[in-house]
Amino acid sequence: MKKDCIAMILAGGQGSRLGVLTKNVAKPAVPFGGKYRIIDFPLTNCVQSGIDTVGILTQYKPLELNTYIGNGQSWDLDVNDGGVYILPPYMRENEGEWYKGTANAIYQNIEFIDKFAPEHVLILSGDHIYKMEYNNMLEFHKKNDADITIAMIPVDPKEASRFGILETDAEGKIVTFEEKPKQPKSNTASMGIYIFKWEVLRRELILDEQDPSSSKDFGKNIIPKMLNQGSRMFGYRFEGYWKDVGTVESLWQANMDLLDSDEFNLDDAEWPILSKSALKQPHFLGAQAEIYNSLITEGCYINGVVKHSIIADSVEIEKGAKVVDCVIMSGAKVLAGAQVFKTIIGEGAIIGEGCVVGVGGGEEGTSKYVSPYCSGGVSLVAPGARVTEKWIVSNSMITEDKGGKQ
Amino acid sequence: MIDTMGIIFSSNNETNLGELEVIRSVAALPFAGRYRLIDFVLSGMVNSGIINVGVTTDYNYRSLLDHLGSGKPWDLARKKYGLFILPPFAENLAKYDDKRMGMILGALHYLKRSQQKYVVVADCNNVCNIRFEEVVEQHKQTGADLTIVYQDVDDNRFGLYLDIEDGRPTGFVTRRDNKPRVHRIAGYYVFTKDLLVNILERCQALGKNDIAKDLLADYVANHNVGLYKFDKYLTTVRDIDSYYRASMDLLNADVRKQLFVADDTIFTKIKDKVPTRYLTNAVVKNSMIADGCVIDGTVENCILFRGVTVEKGANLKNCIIMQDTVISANARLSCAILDKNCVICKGKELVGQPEFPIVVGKRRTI
Repeated sequence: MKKDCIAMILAGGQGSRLGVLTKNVAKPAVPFGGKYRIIDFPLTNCVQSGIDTVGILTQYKPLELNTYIGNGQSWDLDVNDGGVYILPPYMRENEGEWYKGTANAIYQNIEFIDKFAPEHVLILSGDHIYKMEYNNMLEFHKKNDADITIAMIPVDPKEASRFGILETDAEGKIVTFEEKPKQPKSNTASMGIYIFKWEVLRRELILDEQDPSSSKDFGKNIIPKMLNQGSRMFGYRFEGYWKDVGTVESLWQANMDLLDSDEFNLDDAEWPILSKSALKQPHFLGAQAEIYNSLITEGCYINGVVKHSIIADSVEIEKGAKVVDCVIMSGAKVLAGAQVFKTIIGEGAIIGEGCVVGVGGGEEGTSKYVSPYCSGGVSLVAPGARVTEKWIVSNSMITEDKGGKQ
Repeated sequence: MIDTMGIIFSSNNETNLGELEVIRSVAALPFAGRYRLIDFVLSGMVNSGIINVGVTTDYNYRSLLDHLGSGKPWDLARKKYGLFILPPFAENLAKYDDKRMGMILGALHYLKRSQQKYVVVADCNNVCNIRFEEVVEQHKQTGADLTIVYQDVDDNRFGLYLDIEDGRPTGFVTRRDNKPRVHRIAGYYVFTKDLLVNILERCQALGKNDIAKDLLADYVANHNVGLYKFDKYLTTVRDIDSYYRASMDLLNADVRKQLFVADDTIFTKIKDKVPTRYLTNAVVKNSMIADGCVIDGTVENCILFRGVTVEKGANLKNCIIMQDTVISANARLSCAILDKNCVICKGKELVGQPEFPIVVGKRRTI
């Protein structure tokens, strides 16, 4: 059936700045907020906006993401006509290749999109935490009869050179666009959310593919070229919480935002964030538990001190253990007497009895795990790692293999 | 276990839960923070590989239907077989003293039409994590016509008790006053289907109407009846007192370990609630807390269901608080069971006793 608008989520990147968190999973599958994964946010937005056909383009360690998405049931995307599709690169008659860039990933799936013959295609990335009614943007796009509409948001001027920076005129028409400029002209950034007329995008993708000098990227190639050609391009101003969680520190910060500010409300009856439930019993707080300003979810057993932390499902925190400013992912254990500060603990990791992680420096603490991936005092323990060192200083990244085995 | 089907009685004559039961069948009674009683037996069947389950209904089955939906959370939304809701026949409800007889006779056609050779027939008001697979396996091996699941218990006040001689049942009685330790029927039976259908048709023709006196007695007298002793945690919810005690059992680590087994998940309808938020004044000890709560008060020895709010200064001890109920600032509650969507206003006090908990019905404001 002909669709008005379908969504394509670019989930192919490794997310290497997240260090060991993305060693075995693609970035969109990284857990967030106790019971979500990053991909839940764009998927929920799609469903809330009435978009029932979603392609997820993936090529890096897709196993966990595929398992998580399944048939899309958790997002009500197991529908007859449409639904959610995982789209890895595949072999064709004569050749096959990896996705070479964001534009090339869509190019390789032209056949898929053609099957639904949509009027418009919404391009999303799988690495932001936000709630957005894409419908409003689609209305804006249609009203302007735009070839492309780019969602934009003001960012910290200091950070502006990390983004695509654009300027619009009074009507919202885009007049300049620069991908990651050294000297940004404004602080209005592209959110990496585009709505294209499918016939225009289809044509541009085919042309771009034939250009050997192109790096097959939306921000670097497709959008600047369309601007030069004088296409109808509009900027859609988004207001609300929008956070990139591409680094260990920003992932930690976005989690802490859930505790510290009301800017981003997960508990909105009209906008429930859909996710795949862990199907565990309610959590249990033991007689020694002390909880202060934290989020805790199903299946946990807590008998220690938890302050200002996000605790995912099936986590155990034993008697006398102390967890402060932490993000603890599914199934991790903090054993008796251990103390963990400002640390992201990966799924199933174990902090051994009496170990201290993430505080201070000095001679007593082990600083051999200090890592460039970790900044702002945030430490990271790899999924499945077992920490046995007595004291590990902040900004450390403890990997599975090292694990502090002495 | 493609060769086994299940029938669950959504209610029976043995329960009396007052206000909690007026608005719902006992199968839909909320339990353990996020479940309803039927989840335990239904998950037991599903975890045993049973994919054809009929749930018989009685009056007031709206909340049960809402909970079960298409059967998706239990993987029972299927093309072949799946979940069958068996609505009541008005005639049967009036005619049979024992509701269960009316219900199972109402399910006769469904039983006949299904291809399975064995059927697990189960009450819904037990809390336990049972693998019916093992019972059915024993049933097949012994070539029994009926296998009865029982438990050895000290409590002899309620239920149906077996007389056992040389490992075989010889009869049963409804009350056991003199013996301290008794064999209590757990409300789970495995039947070989064809014989069950024959006997049920005879019961129907002769107007017999009691599961125990007519159906089970006939089996014990004339057929090959086996026994299966279940010795893990199992408790039966019959009245407010046993509901309260079963809930407080959840505060015991050993009980939780026996109920919530990693590979035998208790499935339930999924609500996608947010994680529970503990604010800066929260003091919570020895309690089971479901998702979606916001807690800023003191909570001890309690079960809180999804979406409960406990405001600053509120104090809860030994309470069961169901979904979306709000306990306002400085309210004090002890030994109380609050149904869904109640509001306890600022500073109010409700004090029950462990042997006599206070029950507040759905949507009440105090």
